[in-house]
Amino acid sequence: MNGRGGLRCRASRLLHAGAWWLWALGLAAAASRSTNPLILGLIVAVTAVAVTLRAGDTPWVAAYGAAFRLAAFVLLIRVAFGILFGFPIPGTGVLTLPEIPVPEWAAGVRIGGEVTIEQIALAFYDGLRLATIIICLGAANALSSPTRLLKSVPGALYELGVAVVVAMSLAPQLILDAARVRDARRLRGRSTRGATGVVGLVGPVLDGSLRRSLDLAAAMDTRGYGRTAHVPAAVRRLTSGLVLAGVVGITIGIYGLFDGSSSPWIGLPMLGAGMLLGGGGLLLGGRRTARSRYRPDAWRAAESWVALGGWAAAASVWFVTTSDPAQVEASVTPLTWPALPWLPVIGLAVAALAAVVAPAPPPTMDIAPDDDEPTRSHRTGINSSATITKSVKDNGQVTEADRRTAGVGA
Amino acid sequence: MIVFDDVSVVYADASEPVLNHVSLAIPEGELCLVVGPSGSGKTTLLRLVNGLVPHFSGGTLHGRVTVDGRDTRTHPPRELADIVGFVGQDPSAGFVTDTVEDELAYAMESMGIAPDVMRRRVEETLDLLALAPLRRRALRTLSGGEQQRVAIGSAMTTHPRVLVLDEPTSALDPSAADEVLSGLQRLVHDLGMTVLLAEHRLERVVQYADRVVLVPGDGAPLIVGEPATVMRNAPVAPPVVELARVAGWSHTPLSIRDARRAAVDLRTALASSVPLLDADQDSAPPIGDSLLTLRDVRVGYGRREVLHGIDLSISTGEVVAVMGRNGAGKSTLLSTMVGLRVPFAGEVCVLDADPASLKPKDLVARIGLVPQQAADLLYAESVGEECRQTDEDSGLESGTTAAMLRSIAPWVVDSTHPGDLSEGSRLALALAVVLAPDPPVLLLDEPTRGLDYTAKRHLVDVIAAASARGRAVVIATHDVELAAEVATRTLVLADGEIVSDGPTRRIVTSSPMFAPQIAKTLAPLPFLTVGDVRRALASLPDAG
Amino acid sequence: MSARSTAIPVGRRSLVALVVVSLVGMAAFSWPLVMTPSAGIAHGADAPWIFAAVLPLLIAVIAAELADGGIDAKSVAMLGVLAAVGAALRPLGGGATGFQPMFVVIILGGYAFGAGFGFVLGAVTMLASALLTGGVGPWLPFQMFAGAWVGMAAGLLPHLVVRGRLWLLAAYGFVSSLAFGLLMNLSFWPWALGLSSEGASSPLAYVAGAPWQENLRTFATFHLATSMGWDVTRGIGTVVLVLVAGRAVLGALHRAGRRAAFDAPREFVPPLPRIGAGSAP
Repeated sequence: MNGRGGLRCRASRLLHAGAWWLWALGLAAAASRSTNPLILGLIVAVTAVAVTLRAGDTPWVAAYGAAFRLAAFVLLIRVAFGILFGFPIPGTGVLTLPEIPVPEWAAGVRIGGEVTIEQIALAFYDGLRLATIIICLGAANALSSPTRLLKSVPGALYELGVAVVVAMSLAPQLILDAARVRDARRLRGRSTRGATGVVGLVGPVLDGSLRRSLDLAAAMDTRGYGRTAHVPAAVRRLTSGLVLAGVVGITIGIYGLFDGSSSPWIGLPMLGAGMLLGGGGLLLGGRRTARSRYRPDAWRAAESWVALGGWAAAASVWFVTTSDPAQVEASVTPLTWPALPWLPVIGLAVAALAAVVAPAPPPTMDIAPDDDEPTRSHRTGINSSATITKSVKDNGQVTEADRRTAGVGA
Repeated sequence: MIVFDDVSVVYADASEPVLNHVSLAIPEGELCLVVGPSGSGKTTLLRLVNGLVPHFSGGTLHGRVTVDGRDTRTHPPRELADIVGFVGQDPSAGFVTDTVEDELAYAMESMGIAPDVMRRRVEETLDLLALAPLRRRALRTLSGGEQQRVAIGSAMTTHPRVLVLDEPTSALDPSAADEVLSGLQRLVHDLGMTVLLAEHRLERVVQYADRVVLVPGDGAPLIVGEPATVMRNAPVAPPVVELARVAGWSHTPLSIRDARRAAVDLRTALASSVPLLDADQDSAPPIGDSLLTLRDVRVGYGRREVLHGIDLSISTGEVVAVMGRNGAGKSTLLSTMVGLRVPFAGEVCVLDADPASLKPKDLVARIGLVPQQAADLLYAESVGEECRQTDEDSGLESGTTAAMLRSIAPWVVDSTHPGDLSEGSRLALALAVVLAPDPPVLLLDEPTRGLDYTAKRHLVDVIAAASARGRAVVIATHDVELAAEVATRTLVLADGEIVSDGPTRRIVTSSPMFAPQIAKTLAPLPFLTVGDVRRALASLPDAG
Repeated sequence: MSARSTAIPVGRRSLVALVVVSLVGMAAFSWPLVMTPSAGIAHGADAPWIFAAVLPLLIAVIAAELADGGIDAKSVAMLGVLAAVGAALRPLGGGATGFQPMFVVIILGGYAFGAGFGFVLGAVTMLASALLTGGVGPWLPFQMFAGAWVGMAAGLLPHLVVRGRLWLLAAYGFVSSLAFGLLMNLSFWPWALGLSSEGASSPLAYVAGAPWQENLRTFATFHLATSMGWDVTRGIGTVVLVLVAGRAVLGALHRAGRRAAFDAPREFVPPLPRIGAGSAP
């Protein structure tokens, strides 16, 4: 577009799926290093800004909301564990739980007892870190739908990418099938309530979907699925060699990490090298499929800026961790209000800026259907159990409750 | 272009060959129609062209099939993908991707075609099949006709020499079917493509065919030839051909135009029999009590209303055909009648009870519905098991359902799994299951989809028998021949409202789109079926 | 019924890769117990993240190995459909009770179609269901691995007569549910109770630097106190489902396998001898 690089390329387009994932992973890496709630809160805010501004209107946007729910659940569990199983950190007592006697072989462990606010705070900070990571991953899901990411999967994993795509597009369809079969049970004079009702759905739905899988496979075969390119023997040997070397490297690296007495070179560096080699083998292995890509997502300068922005945030937090760890850890003894270090703020601001100046997604034309047959699914991407049941209800499937209330008034 | 050289096919777990000694040569640029009863081997014949039989399905192939010089023995389906395009029976089951554009490009991607070539071809195909406004739509949100066009488009982007289609119009209403078929016609004439097409509803398509292959089934030899020759003596034939047989014409017409030209004398001869038809009407059994009533019913999904204010009453002995284009609300109407959908407003009354509030056992004793996918109703391990369970569920004497099934479809074997039955047999089993408790009201949703003429005749007999017993039958269909054959009354639904309601003869002849072939041929005389014509000819003073 | 079909054959090289990667995977799961106290990363908070990053690559390597000969379209489609069934069932399992009907699909699918298929089915089902229900978190690679093992082991179970089959699968279902819970808890343990480098936050937390016997004891208590209840519920739920719906599901899978004709021979032979009339011109 213009010579000043991708930052100025504002034409609305969809970014490469990997760019947003890298950005979100950078933020997640930043969150993994800190329990300072202010930093974590700022990270969540940055993801919220990005999702609000850049998420487009695909059904995957619901993943962000689902991530919040999951994060809240995880936080709750962590705090509950902290209350029940935590160390008695001396401080202000808040409540006292009955202490559960523990068998002798587990002596030294305390379940219940007096709970101090320091204890709760520690559990909260810890849980907040995990919750933030979950929210970052949810943002990645919302910003670039997984189906688009699966299109960019390396060639060696193509078949499995297809399987995952098929699974994700069929799952909502199956739920509608189940609703239709349940209606048909009523037409046979059988009860649709209770365990027998549910189990009776299994056979027909499974049969129907397996039959459909065969039609799908025939269609794939007919359209040339599985054509292999001729790969010279040397390349094949190289691929196997790389993969083998990668696995060996990873094994040695993990052994080195585990065994403290070995030289430091055997640990992380070997692991890293192993991962690189294995990744290279995977990429090279993609040569065996003779596929091309229709309108592949381009990786332009904008994608690089976005990815770098996320990792700038991670780098800033890591830097502070090594130089002054106290700033990124929330202190519990004494329980004081945490301070906000300035370097991570700058790093996160860069991440937010990268998200804001990225091109906006074009509006999607997912027009609502106009036919009334209940067998058509009206949504293409569904992200939580609530959304699934909601979409089925919207299709007008009558539940027993509806029938009963309607019957009363008839 | 396609050569079958003494081909026989035996499937892995079968002992008898499905096709026996088939030798056939189809030249380039022909539209070849494959006809025959269900289960006769039409699908096998089509899949041989593609290599799906035996590479995909297993089995033994005797002989040789060659497509554009490539032998299917050495070329599995993926090697033939660039010269053969295949469109299966259910287009939505064959979609591999999410959106229209990606689906069109999938075959080309598999072949490793360069991106710019792919782009150009996708644009061409979108234009050719008028899919351009739908390009970014999700496949699941398309209508049946649009999905069928996308399936055809995705088979065409590789520029194949041969296009093979297995029942492309079975799920479509008449106007969508005509669109698809005229599109195929254009492909043959403008692009010189060879098209091989299997179809049950011959009346729509036989006029376009250059050659007809009749597969009688049971390993009997194929009958191949010009359409008029083959149709003249075929066991399955469209109504105009049957008319030619009844009227004794020497030339067999295939299209309405030919038929009208040949029927000039017949029309004059029959002009005097018209009053007899009206007399027929009067001698119909008198309408009895009302069995099913709908009063100002409004039904919808979520916030969208699909049926606006339906008022309807159906009495004993009536056979009502509900017609209308796909999306007009026919299925919803039937679901509401049986209580699967609860209306926002208005009331539904089946034998003085609201079907939505009945217990399932009571519901089944009053009203039965055979849904669009008859397989939804069947979930036992075998046909015999299915019959036994129905007897139990409805408290019938053991063996009732099996007897009912034998009267409808005596050829069905008790030990078969319902999923392995052919379309016609599955429908017969579903009918037996629904009819066994002998409900006073019977609803059928699109029963003739995928049925061949023989099975359709059995269905007509069953419906007539039920009506003679005083049952009310409501059929939602867009098969106008069925409605002409068996319905006493016809309703037309459009946009969620009933736009016409009256005796079949009047409704069906008043609209050119909905008229059956005989009506179109003999217009303005109000004859609907070959049966009408036969009776009228027999009653003429010089009957012969 | 014909013999079990093998949808994804496991060659020699794939087997070796599977074994090696499984061992590495086990190490990744059990690092809190296996790591020596003096190891460099044992004190840091990094170990779980490192493993969470390594596991996806290992899974990818195995998957690429298994797919190396090219996976049949039928196997891919069957895989997709069964994973879809599992994914659709996942919201039905209440998170609190731990009941997961999705497991039944993985176990029965692996049993019906072999170890290679079971491995891939487990991984794909976990991935697809996590993406669909928004359960993506750092535990996902661990879940994929554990699910893959459950499927693979199901594929290695002996093939029995109909009645015995269900009991065998029910028993396996119970054992594998408990094992899955144990593995997931082991991998989640450091996250559940604190990773802060200030030291343990709980008497039940992983103590970096403590000898493995102590860690094992602490973990056992933690496991019994927390996850055991959910695991037992999951196990019982799986047993019930297998016994009740197992026959229908296995029947459907066998029929599908027969129809798909994974192993059916394809022969090309000369024309049949002619008996009587030939074909029409």
